[in-house]
Parts: sequence; C-alpha cells; structure tokens
Amino acid sequence: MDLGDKLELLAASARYDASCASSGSSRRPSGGLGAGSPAGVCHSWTGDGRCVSLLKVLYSNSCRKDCAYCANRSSADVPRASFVPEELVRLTISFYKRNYIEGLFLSSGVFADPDIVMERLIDVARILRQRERFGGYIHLKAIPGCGDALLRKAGLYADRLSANIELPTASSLARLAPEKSGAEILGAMRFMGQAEAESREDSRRAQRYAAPRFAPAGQSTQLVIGASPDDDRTIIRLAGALYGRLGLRRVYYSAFVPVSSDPRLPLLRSPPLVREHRLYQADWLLRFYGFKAEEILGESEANLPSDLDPKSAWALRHPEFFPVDIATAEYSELLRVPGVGVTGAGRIISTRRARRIKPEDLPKLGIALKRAKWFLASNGRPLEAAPELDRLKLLLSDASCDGDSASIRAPESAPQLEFSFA
Amino acid sequence: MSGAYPRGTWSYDGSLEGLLALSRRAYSETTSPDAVANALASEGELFALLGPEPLRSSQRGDLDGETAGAELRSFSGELFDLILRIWMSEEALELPLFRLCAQAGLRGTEVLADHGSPDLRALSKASRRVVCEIHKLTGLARFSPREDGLYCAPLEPDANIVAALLPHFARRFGIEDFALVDVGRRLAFARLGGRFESAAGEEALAFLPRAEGGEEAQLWRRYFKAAENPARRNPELQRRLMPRRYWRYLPELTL
Ligand code: SF4
Repeated sequence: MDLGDKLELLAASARYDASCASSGSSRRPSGGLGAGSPAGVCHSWTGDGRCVSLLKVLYSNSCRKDCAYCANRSSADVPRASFVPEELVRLTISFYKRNYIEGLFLSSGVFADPDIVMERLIDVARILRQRERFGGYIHLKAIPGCGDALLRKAGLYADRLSANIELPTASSLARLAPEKSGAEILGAMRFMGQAEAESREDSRRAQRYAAPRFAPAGQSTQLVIGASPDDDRTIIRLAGALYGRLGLRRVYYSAFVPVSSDPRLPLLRSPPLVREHRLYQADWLLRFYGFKAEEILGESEANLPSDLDPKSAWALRHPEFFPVDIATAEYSELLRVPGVGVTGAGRIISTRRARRIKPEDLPKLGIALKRAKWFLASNGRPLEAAPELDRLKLLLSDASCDGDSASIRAPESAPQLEFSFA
Repeated sequence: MSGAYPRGTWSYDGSLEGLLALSRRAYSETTSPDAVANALASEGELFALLGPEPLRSSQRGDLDGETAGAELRSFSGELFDLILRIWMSEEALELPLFRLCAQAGLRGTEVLADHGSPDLRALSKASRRVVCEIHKLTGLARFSPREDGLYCAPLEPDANIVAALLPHFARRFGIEDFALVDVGRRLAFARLGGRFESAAGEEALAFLPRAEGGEEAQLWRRYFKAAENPARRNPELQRRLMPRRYWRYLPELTL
C-alpha cells in the first residue's frame, strides 16, 4: 500500500471522531516551523460541512477490540493499514507548510498492548516537536489502559489529549463495547485532568514559562448519540460533571450512523442529527450561559424537545423569571432570555454605560427581538405581552423562526458523527 | 484640505496615512466634514503599520500619518484598529468614521461602546467583514513552493487585507521565508532572507509559483475526500461556510 492509499484509508477510519479543534493552546513558539493560534483556524470545509483544521488520521486501523458501533472493530471486514512515524511526520510538515492544516490529530485502533500503541503515538509527536521543532497543534488520543507515565509524556508533546467515553452509562458500554472499561477511561481522564491542573498551577507560580505545559489545550471527549437507549438527561448530566469535576474543555456529541448490522444496535434510517444539534445547544448553555446541567431539562423530561432550543424550553418553564429589564438586568439574567446571546448581552451592558437603551435600539445591538420581546421589559413594562403558553411555544419553535435557533449560535458548524476509537 | 472642493469638504489621497491624519483632525478638533473626497488609494501603506518592521515616517503634504496613528492609538487601541479596518474595507465610510472620531474627542472612549449609534453600527459592520476576511484567509491561503523553495500563496481577498495577514504567517513560518500575493490588487508582501518587503504590479505577480501543488497537493486532495463523511453530506453547508469565491486557489476543490 503506498502512502496515498494509507492516507485515504486511515483518514476515512478517523472521520468518525467529531473533534477537529485547534484552539485553546497557549504553547509558546518553538523557534521552528509552526505556531499555535489560540482561536483555532479552519483550513477547509468538507462536503459534510465540517471544518478541517487538523490532519486527522489513525496510526493504525487494526484493533483487537470489537466495539459494536465501530467501523474498525476486529470483526469488520475492512482493509487494514498502519503508518510508520516518518510518514506522519512528512505529511504533517508538508501539509502545514502549504497551510492545509494547523497540525496533527493522531488516534489509533488498539492493535497491541495499550502501552505499545500509546508509545507509537508519542513517537510521532516527539519527532515532530524535538527533531522538526514543530510548533503547530498536536492532539493525541490517550489509549485507556496505558501507564500514567506515558500519558504524562504524551501531555508534554501534545496540545490536547482526549479519551472518548463514547457511551454515557456503564450498562451501555457493557452491552456494546464489552472489552472497554469505563473505569479505565475515566481513570485516564482523571489523571490527565490532574496533570493539567498541576501544570497550570506550576506555571502560574513560576510567573513565567518554566517547564513545558501539560496539554495546554486541555482534554476533550466524545459521546455517541443514539447507539444506546440512554436519554438526553443522562448525557447532559454526564457532560456537566465532566466540565465541572474533571475540567474538560470540550465534550463532543456524535450522531450514530450504523456501520454494521449488529443486532445490539438500533435500526436508524438516518443519523439523529437534530438530537445531536440540541445537545450541542445544551452544551453551550453549560459552558457559556451559566446553566447547570439539572436546569436544562424539566423534572419530568428525559429528552430535549426537537422543535425548540433548550434555552427557549427553559424560559417557557420559568415564567416567574421574566420579564427582565434592559435597564437593570444583570449580564447573567440577560443570558437567560431567548434571542439574547453572549454578544447581545455584552452589548446591552456596555451600551447602558454610555446611554439609556430604548427598545428600538435592541435589534441594533444584535438582539433577536422576534424571540426576545416577550421576555424583556423597559421601564418596568414588558416589551410585548406574552401570548398563552402553547402559542408562545409555537412562536419560539424552529418552524416559526425560519429554522434560526435564535440566541444560541449553531455551536458546531457540522459536528462530526458516529463514535470513535480507543 | 484642498481649495478645489466645496467648503466643508475634506480631501485626502485615499492612503491609510491620509485617513489617519484626518481621523486625528476630527478627534482633536472635535469636528467632522460635510463631505469627503477620496482620491486614488495608494498601495502598500498598511505594510508599514502592520508589518513587523517599525512604522516609517512619511508625510503626505501637511498630513503626518505616523504621528496621527500614534496619537490615536494612545487614545484608544480600539479606535485605531477600527480606522485600519475601515481603510482595508475599501468602503466609503470616511464620513461616519470622522463623525465618530469627533464624538470620541468630545465624549471619550464611551462612544465606542454605544452600539446603538448608526455610525458605529455601519463602521462595526465593515470592520467585522474585514476581520472575517482576515480570519477566513488565514485558513484558506494555500502556499506552494517555487523552484527556488520560496513558499508563496496567491489570494484574491474581498478587502485590502493581505498585509494584515503578514504577522500571522510570520509566526507560522518561523524563520522560513514566504510570500503573499494579492492577485487582483497586484500587491505582494514577502519575507525574504528574514527581511520584509513589498512589491506592486508585475513585480508582485512575479512572486507566484509557476506550477501548483505537486505530489503533496495530490495527497491533500485524497485526504480531503476521505475525511468527508458520506452519511452526513451537506454541500449547501459547505458552500455557506466556504463560499465559492474562495475555491479558486484551493487544491482540494479544484480538479
Ligand atoms: S472504538 Fe476503539 S477500541 Fe473499539 S473497536 Fe473501535 S478502534 Fe477499537
């Protein structure tokens, strides 16, 4: 198999991992080729609308395990291949120089003992950082079950590390990926979270760049949506705990697409993309809008509504919170208003310092009044009296808003799908 | 500025330095004109301001862009950046800009937070378009090596932003040389032997590599195709995020 054939195969095998971010790293310039870009850069968009930022490939698509949802499972009848480190180094450097990518995202099937697989990934990163003095972005997959010393080493070369949970409950994992150990995955995540926090604290104490930071862009994970019967409530609470307790930077959600006829898997006509989209919106509420996981779904609801964004759904459940006054509301209160995003709330606060805001100013500040008008007040009076609940719900639904999910920007232009590896 | 125009008209030569000088005048005199006459825009000004080399001293008649820029920057980095972006946008927004500068002279930086002001809204919109174009092209510029090994990227941006890309690519290329060519405006900005240079006209176009891509571009095309997930095909979204006007120099979308 020549390099082009391998590249094609091992890129196709890696496309099920949703993450392709190159943002959030504070790595210092290496003095050689490459520098991080804290905001991340998209270098292209594939025909599925997904941003291409990194050369995302598997080191090998051979795997000892047989996870039901995975295209690379050991029982799948697919061609197998592995890179050698120099091939990946060449591709990374030459693609980087041409400005095709920000760096490398390297994952792998578990083709051998986890320590050996992790060592291979580290080898590639080490050559790039040490021999090539490559300063671009590197995301390495942590292979659960490998030793902590290897994870520590990986974190010194990588900007980001990730271990994918894939399925949100131990019972789903036992059913669909019985060879995977939830405890091992969470153990790796806990170790990485701790190492990152310690390293951050060390460099804060040193007041300057003392030693290489451990994975300066933090860690992420991915959950497969729809391969198991787990509901949104379970997924959102897990995400909340991952952000809150393990300090994860990102949780990715990947709508399941059947890659086998395994009877343990649901029969889906198409990937649950709307559900995935709603979960990304809920995720934004957790990360940027000050919501707690328990608030996002009502007591009796297991899943997010498909026709209404989660913030509007929350607003409809909490009429006692509204209206909020544009002259006096806190930033955190404004963020709860459908049709008011992070930018709009910030603009209301800053414009308010310069002068009094009139209702007619709001569209100029980026507020979607057609959604916000029932939830905002000026001079103590609501901008518009809210209609009865069913009608309001209809007016806030996607169908009435030209498919515009209002104040929450589509968080992933087209988050990648399915599940992932290791 | 010139007797050839009606009273209340300010004129300048379309250069960045001219725009800075008039912005400072509006700011320091807290006054703005009734009309603006913009003569031919000159080339390459931004290079001096945004490039890693120090600002050159340069005069345009009675206008001193360097001093004006320094004064405005010390008043507010935000206002200074806005002026640069308005110049890059090539939109006829001098009048609202000078009105905003005059207001800033009168009321201070709080005018920059007044997002309800129609002038600030128009300026912010143009500024966002420029920022967006810069950000898009940091990702969509495609470099190919010339025979002499210099990596060069042809671009056709919507606004005059190529010089603003220089700091980004200077960091990215480390110590290696590179060149950016605005094919439509026939401008080139390059780092050669560690020194930053600019060129215009035929001299700028001479930077372009003769052949594009080679084997690596072929590998990239194969990668790009394989990375797409057929179960989620959404070409409309792809075009929305990466409009066709950018495709011309992207090897993955040509051939
Ligand atoms: S998900 Fe990972 S461990 Fe499971 S079969 Fe796929 S590559 Fe192997």
